[in-house]
Amino acid sequence: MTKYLRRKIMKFFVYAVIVFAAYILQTTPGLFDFYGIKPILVLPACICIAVYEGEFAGGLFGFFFGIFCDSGSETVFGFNALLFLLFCVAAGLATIYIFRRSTMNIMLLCLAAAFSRSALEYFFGFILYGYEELSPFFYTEIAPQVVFTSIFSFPFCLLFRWLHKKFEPETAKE
Amino acid sequence: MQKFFKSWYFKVLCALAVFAVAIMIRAAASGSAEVFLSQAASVISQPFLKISSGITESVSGFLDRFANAEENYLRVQELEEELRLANEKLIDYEQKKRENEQFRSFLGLKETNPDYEFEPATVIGRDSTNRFYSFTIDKGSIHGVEAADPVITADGLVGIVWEVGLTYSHVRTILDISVEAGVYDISTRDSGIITGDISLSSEGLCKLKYLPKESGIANGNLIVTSGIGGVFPKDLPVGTVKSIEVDSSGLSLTAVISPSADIENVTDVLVIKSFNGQSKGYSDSSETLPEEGGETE
Repeated sequence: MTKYLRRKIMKFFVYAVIVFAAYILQTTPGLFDFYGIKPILVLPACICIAVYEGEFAGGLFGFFFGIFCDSGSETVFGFNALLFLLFCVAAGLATIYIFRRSTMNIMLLCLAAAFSRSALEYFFGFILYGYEELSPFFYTEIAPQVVFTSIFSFPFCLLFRWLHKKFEPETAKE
Repeated sequence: MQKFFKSWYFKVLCALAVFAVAIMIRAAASGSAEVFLSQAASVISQPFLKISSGITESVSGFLDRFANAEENYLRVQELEEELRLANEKLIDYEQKKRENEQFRSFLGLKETNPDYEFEPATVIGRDSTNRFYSFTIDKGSIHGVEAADPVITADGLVGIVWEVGLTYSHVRTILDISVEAGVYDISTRDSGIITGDISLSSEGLCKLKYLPKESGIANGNLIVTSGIGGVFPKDLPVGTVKSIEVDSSGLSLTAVISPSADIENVTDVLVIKSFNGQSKGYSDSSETLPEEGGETE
């Protein structure tokens, strides 16, 4: 096994540990709980991987950790896996072809992804069922969670940027 | 961009997306998660969740002493005031004694209901995407827990087991709009159906529907399960009436209920695995998930 390959395996192992830790933290009762609102930490973590490592790695991380989120979620099983995969691929491609890889752009990508996920959940989980008085629910539950999730994209962005540089091949650094 | 669409990366990602859509359709049709994937994810994460929730509980308990010093001071003052009021209320001793006996009969559920078979469980997960305080407990099918088993605390009804894995179960609370239970007012004997409400759930409240318009229900009345339908045992405390209003149709009353159990912060629960008259007749399909109220109608 070459040094380059070992380094790459190590890098993705560290990424997987971080995203898994994010899942454990977002699921732990009482942690990051502000008046009943909890952020979805896995989503910004996977998007950061997509931005720094490309759409394929991001998509795989999004899919597999989306499955974890589905295992404890009320949504239809596979909902998070599919959306995280699509968002990560989109974020990876957007970084290659449209945006610069800046902190602000990554945070905006996370905000867009979190908003899209919540909007789809809101539509398929609530609006389609015809529940009444949904507007306050959107403003007090869903919107704050989107904002909260986007805020957490900042530390993830810094962490994954640092890790990306740390694991960069020596030749590339030079 | 065209390079990406022609690459094998794209084909793999497409295959995963198709797979995700397939498991979604399967889950939506069968009403349950894809068993292998769901259980594999839960089995991997469960030990870490247990450790994480244990650490969080002990650390927050320690920090709360300092963080809530002012709150505790106010609480002491409040309790002193309550003590003074309690002393005044001794005058109504006989009346209170009768009420106490009534409440004691609920709190001593285990003594008075030897047919209940309990399974103590710990809350190990509250997913951030859950809107109605649903949670995951550390007991599953190998502990004898089954779907539709009632979940309670010493204070009253918390919810119902919704999905069961080998070593974990997902519980939906009575604040959830998909959970319904037949209940009655212990004072007036008027019955109705308790269920979650989107606007009330964030305040930790639920609503009692379909009360007769001529009902004498009043604020503070105790609401208990009716036991009809066999999903919940009879006379489990559910909560107290907080407010009452006429239904939008004008034909019945709707009451806002403050649950007896602290559903938002519950950490330890009891699963009632069996009780006399329990109905095990519903399948695991979402179409027929436990709606005791529905069965009573």
